Amino acid sequence: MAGVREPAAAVAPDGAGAEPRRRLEPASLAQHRPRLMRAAYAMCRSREDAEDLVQETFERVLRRPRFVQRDHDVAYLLRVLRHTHARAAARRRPAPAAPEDLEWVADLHADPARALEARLAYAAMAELSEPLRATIVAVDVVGLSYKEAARSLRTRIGTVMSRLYRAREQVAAAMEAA
Amino acid sequence: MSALSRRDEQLLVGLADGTLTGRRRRRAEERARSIPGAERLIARQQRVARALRAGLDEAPAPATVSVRPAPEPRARLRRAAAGALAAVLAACVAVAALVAPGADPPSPERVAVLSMLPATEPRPPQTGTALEAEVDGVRFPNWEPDFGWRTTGMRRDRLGDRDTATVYYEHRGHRLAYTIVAGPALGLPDGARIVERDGLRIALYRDPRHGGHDVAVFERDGHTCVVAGHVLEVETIVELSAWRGGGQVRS
Repeated sequence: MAGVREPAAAVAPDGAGAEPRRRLEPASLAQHRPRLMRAAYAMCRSREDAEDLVQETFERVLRRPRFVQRDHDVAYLLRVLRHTHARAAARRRPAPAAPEDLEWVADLHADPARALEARLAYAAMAELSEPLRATIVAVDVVGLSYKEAARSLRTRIGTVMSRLYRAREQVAAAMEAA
Repeated sequence: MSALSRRDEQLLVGLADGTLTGRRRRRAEERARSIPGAERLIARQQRVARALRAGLDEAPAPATVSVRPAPEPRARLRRAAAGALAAVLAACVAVAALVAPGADPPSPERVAVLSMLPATEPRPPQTGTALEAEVDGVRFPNWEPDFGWRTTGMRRDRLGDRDTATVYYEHRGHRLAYTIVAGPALGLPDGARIVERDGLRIALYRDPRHGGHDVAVFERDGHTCVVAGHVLEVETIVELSAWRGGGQVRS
């Protein structure tokens, strides 16, 4: 999609004055897959599409060496995932979520009420604007800190917190109306 | 759209997530007292965070926040003691409600919510007109040969003081859940329309949530059964509920 560029900042090795960077090891990608799958499901609302999205994300990352700062692997991978999804989103609309697909982002065995809450929240999240959805996915679905989310989304911590507030408010309203 | 300032939005998020500590937290709580409905707003934030973080092991539990209006200085100590006691009592009540074995039986309406949840176990095997799945000897029907509704999976839950088992069926894009509740029958829901089919009394109502589910509640061998889901015509649910399966399903 025009205007959607690959994240560039983490591609180049150390620059003068920048935080030291290390190479993102291809072998380490597998350990981040569960959290990326959660994020991908939140964006796609379909297990098959989420698997495709994560696979495509890994393929993009593996095309050439990537360099990340300290332990920012997930934040960086989430950014690539978001860009990859933005390309795909122009091609298709999210399908209605199948209830069974939620099983691998939430523990549905524990409590029916909790499972229903998760289902409602994921459904409501799909209706958010892209900036709000990206923020709530980064913090609540993937589990990044505000700082990590800000880095991943290339914005300020205050903006992350404001967007997170508004995203949750809209999701809460939709859950109450359901 | 939120009517709050960005600063207040950030403050409420920080309080909801428990990311503020020490003096910053105290200042934030002080400020939040001037925001109308702050406690409710924070609770809404925490509800969404809890729902989305389910299954994320390392996610911290949302913090408990109190931003009620500050008491007058003279009354502060007395109220603090009363507040602490109330908090302890509230916590005890909440925990007791979660674990108490003597909890109340669920209402049929609550049982019907299970139709909106995913299966957590594979589909049970079939034997003729019934499935190899039962609750207290009451077996689930196999609707596939006669009606084309094939099973997709099942789940088991505990609602109130009752165990439940739910089998999910699909047919041409429609989904139905059949739940059998263990123990004595729960009774029929108030205000439901009652129809009789082949000697079976079936209470019918429509749950408007989530696009509208039709729900049928009836008894088999003294056990409450709930069939709920999306169908084109409610008659489908009536027919399926009343089906005897050659005597294998309903005696």
